[in-house]
Amino acid sequence: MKHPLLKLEPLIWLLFGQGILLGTVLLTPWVLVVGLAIPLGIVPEDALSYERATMLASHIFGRLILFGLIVLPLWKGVHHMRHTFIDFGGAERDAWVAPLLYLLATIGSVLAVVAVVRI
Amino acid sequence: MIEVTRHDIVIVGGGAAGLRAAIAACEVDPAASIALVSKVYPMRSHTVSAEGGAAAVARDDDNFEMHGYDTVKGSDFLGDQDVIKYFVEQAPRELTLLEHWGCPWSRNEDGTVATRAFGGMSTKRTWYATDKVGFHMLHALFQHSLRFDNIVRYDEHFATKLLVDGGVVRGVAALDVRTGVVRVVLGRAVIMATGGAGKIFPFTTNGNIKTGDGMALAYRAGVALKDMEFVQYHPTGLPGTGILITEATRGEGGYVINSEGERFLATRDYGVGTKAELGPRDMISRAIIQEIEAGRGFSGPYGEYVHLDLRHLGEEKIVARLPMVREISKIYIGVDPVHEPIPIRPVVHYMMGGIDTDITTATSLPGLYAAGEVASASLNGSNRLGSNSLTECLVFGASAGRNAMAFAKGSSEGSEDALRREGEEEAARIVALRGKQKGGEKLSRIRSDLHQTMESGCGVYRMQETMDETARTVAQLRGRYADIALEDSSTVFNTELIAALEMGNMLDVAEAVANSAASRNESRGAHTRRDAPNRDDQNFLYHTLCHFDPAGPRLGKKDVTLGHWEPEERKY
Amino acid sequence: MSDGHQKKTFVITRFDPDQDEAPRKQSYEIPVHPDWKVLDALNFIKDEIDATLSHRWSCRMAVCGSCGMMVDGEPRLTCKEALSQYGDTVDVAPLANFPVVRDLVIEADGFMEKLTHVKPWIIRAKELAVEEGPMRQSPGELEEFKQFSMCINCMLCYSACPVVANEPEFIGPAAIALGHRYSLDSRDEGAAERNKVFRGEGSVFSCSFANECSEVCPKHVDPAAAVNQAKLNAVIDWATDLVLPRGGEPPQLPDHFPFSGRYLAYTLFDLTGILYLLLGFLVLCAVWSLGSGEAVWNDMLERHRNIFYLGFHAIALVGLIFVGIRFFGFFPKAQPPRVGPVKPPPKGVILVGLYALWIGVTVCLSIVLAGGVF
Repeated sequence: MKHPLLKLEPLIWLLFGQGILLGTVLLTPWVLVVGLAIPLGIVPEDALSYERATMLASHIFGRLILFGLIVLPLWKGVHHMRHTFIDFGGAERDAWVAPLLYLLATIGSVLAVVAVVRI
Repeated sequence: MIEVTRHDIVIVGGGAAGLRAAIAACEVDPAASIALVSKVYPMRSHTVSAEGGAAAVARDDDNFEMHGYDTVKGSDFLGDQDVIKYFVEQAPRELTLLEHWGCPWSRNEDGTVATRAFGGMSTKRTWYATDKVGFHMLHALFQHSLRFDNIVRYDEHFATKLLVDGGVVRGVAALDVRTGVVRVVLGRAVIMATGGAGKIFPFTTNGNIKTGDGMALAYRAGVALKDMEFVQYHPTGLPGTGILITEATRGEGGYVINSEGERFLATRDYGVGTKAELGPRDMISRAIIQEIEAGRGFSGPYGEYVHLDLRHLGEEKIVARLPMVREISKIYIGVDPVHEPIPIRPVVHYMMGGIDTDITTATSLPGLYAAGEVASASLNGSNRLGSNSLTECLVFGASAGRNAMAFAKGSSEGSEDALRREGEEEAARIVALRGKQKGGEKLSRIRSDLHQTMESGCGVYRMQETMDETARTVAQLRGRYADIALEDSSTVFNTELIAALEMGNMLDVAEAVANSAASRNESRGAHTRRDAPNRDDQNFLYHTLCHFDPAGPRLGKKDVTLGHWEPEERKY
Repeated sequence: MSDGHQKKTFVITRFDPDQDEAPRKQSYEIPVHPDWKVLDALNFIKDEIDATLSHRWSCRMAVCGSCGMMVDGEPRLTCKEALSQYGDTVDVAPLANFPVVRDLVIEADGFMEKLTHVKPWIIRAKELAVEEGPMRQSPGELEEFKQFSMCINCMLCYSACPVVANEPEFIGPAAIALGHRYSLDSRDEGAAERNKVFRGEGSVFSCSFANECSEVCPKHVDPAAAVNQAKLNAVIDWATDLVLPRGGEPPQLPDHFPFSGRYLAYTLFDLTGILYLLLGFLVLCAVWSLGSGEAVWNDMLERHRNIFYLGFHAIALVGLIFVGIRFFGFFPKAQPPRVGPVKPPPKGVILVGLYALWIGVTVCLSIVLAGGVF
């Protein structure tokens, strides 16, 4: 299992790096508004009413941003989780933990494509 | 217990000269097996500490004649003139090769290699890479050497004996420091490139590893040590530690100032004329000592000193050209040269003398070659010019590599049984010394007594009486050395054993220095006598040879090769 | 030199494989001089108290790279560190992450192999003849690699690197920096060969932005910058080389990690991975529900009022800010020094630009999401 991983490392690292950089930049407003401001009532709920949300999300830029908001954090997440596993003594289990985590991110990425297409 | 390995040639020492020799041997025959035996990893070699630069004719306003004349005049006419001519002609070629191998030489705006002024050089011909030239040269050489997989490195192997069979050198016995195993490393020629012996003095720019090992090995094998009385004091070392502040500080325009704020090299007559701070090292060291003796020095916790003032160069130039000087001054003496002058005093730096070789780096022992500071091909005579030594390592290292390969081609392997027996005897000697408990002497006491006597007898200014006294004391120390007791009996990385073996080497070298010095009744270059203040070409225009003899050293003479430049009064 | 009045106790890790099963600690109380470096104390102990103590040293001016050791748990050049900055008790141990030969002496052969592995020499399609003279190189071209050529091979960076601890095959900071130094040299044509090495066994991608190598480097080489520039080059090399199959043994991972306080920030940085993974799936759920009709969408919004959701998002926000600050500070190093003929902007400008991007996107998107425009 390690052999194909070694070959894919550059791609994984690229997604990981962009997950940190762009992922953080995009997630900050999402968490601020969708995760905190609207539920706490700081912003009126109809800001993301179904109609308005669909209008924003179905624009091509809306779809692209949402796609990035899903995929980048997933890859950043699994790559760092793999490192955490190793750091806490899971090195000998890396041979199956790493493919499992990357598989999880791959499934999430495929679902993300479906999700942004079917809006 | 003993392991025998066989190569075409064996190089002892992994500094600039040894690495250059190894690469040259690869160039001669890419299939040859070359052993590189070093008591440290090669990039730890003391070449790494050289700072200022390497000299070679590069500019349009310069030529071989000028570089040669500067060198022979710097040597106080004790340099062999055929050697000097060979050296200056090979120098640009060698520094160019190093450029091709990646050395990050500092550059002019147009992309050509930059050169700076240096003491005793009549024009700017010193190539530099800021002020870490030795460091960059050593790492470029070492990293370049890594591409040759026929160079077999014996890292952290301490060579203790030259193995001779039938009058020809066939290899070395070397102690593997990590395992305590003695190896017999055989080759049909051996190159010594182990550097100098500054550690026989207490106050030196030299690192801990500079213990004269190669000189002692050759000396004990019957090869003469030549011109050992000439010990170079560098004018600018930090008081206390002896850490080197490069001559490039003066090359870039720094001033040497006494406690009265006077630039005495420019205002008083110390023989350096209008060159002032750019005079040769022997003269400036003497001038500083005279200023201190006249009461115009500063005094501090580590003795008296004068100032090296760089403040007028400005921060930008200091950062661009002399970053290491700034770093070292801040860390090791707490002075930022941008804002304060640096305290400095003369410090033992370099041995002009060494294993007697001819122009081809060959010694009197067939199969043994030597290059770099360990050797004396008589390039430097009685005083070396700054920035000639790094180039010397390359020019004569390359020559040694080529000539040793040529010798190896025509030489037989010798009797392996006899060589193995010699190795076993050497191993037995080392095992007996390891953890030797019987004895009343402590290594560190012998070292401090050696330091004391060398400084008092063989300092910047010398007298017959003190030199004779030092020669006698060193002879006594040899007796005390036979009676040392050691604590560490471990086979693994036994640094006490190494230090004991090094002490034996240092005592041999110190014996040659003291006895050679006591025999030269004149003042020439770095050998300056208060009781014989003038040069005496009539009686002393010769090289001193010092031969090993268990009963005490035997001194001899060797003619100086003249013919191109007539000896004249040395005045700048 | 030992005429000082102050005394310090040195707790030194001793190990002689001839006698000891495992390393042990030994204490020495000695008088110290105010000007001493740590190395001076070790030499005093060796000369005056215990001649069996083994350590490496030579130049005592911080350039030969021999005397690296752990001093009070940090990798340091002992000839460079003033004793006065330490307390009454100083702990000295061999460099971490290396096999110990004896006492304070570590095994360096692994590093030497890695160094050879990255081909740290000038590679040219056609070797120049010496008669052609020195190559031209402008001061600007020299500047591009100069910093990375300052490495003295002291190996402190390997001792500080948490990835080396986990993965001994990792080529590691110093060797990558030196390989990269040649790739950046205008006289060299071997970058492609080295990119293959950087992508191979113990690859550069093992680095996970700990930045500890640059923190401890006594020569300010900044190996972390080199490692991350090398990653970028290796990615470009990979992208242009996708069709070719490639060999190489998989890295062997060790089974333990010396977890310690100095790596707390690094470990926390790693742990934010869980937050990001969950956030990614939460956004996925939200987008999915948007495609499933109004009722599902409103359910999703309602769920976000739950205290667990609110708590998670609050923690996530803290995590995002931590990641942003840590990574943005690191990011300017990872830039290739030159893209074509264009000079890279100074690090400060990149840093300001990143923060501007972060704040700008946050403000704009927040306004849009909160119903401000459109």
